[in-house]
Amino acid sequence: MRMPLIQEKDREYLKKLFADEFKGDVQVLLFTRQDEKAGGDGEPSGDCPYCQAAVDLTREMEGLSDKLKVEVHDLNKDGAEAAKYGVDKVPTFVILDPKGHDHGVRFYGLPAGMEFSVLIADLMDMSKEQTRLAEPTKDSLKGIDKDVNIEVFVTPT
Amino acid sequence: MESEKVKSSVVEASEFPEWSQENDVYAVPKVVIRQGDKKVEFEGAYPEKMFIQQVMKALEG
Repeated sequence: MRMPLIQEKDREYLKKLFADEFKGDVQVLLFTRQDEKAGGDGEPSGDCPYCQAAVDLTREMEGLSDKLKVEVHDLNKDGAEAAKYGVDKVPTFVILDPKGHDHGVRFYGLPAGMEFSVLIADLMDMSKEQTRLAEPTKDSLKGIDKDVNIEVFVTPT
Repeated sequence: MESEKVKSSVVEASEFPEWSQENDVYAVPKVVIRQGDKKVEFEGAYPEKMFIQQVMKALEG
């Protein structure tokens, strides 16, 4: 029996937070790559050292709210699904809104430390289908008529 | 989410060393904004107003 990644007190906090903040269902598609040779059960895989932890973390989160729906896909086995969302790296989190619509929100890698709260905030925004951006920022964004891709590189802190 | 044209990703740099190297990530947070062939990049956590200015810069010309 492995130790949970989310501690008991954080679990209670998140349960309440999700209950208060989630409006619609939010869907998380997690793409991983399972190493055939790895033993599973939390064993790090040489191919994707953080994939099993990402699966465990996501499953633990799923248990904290009925509104959080999780699908785990294997990049090798679910090629069509990966192609649909343009995923070619693992682990990748794709976050969909309550209508199942993809807004291009991605999280690459295990959201550890402070980055976990970034993922949580993304889930809450997506569930409510609204961001906490200032009105002038929203106005600027609405005026954009060309495809823009923003990548934010972080490290766990 | 506010624009169908804008896609955004958070990348754990330490797990994707090649991707980070391609984008000259030496300090975090590092932000790379792409529009076609145009690329605007900066290091540090910018306030929202300055962040959107950088996004709009990528759209100029």
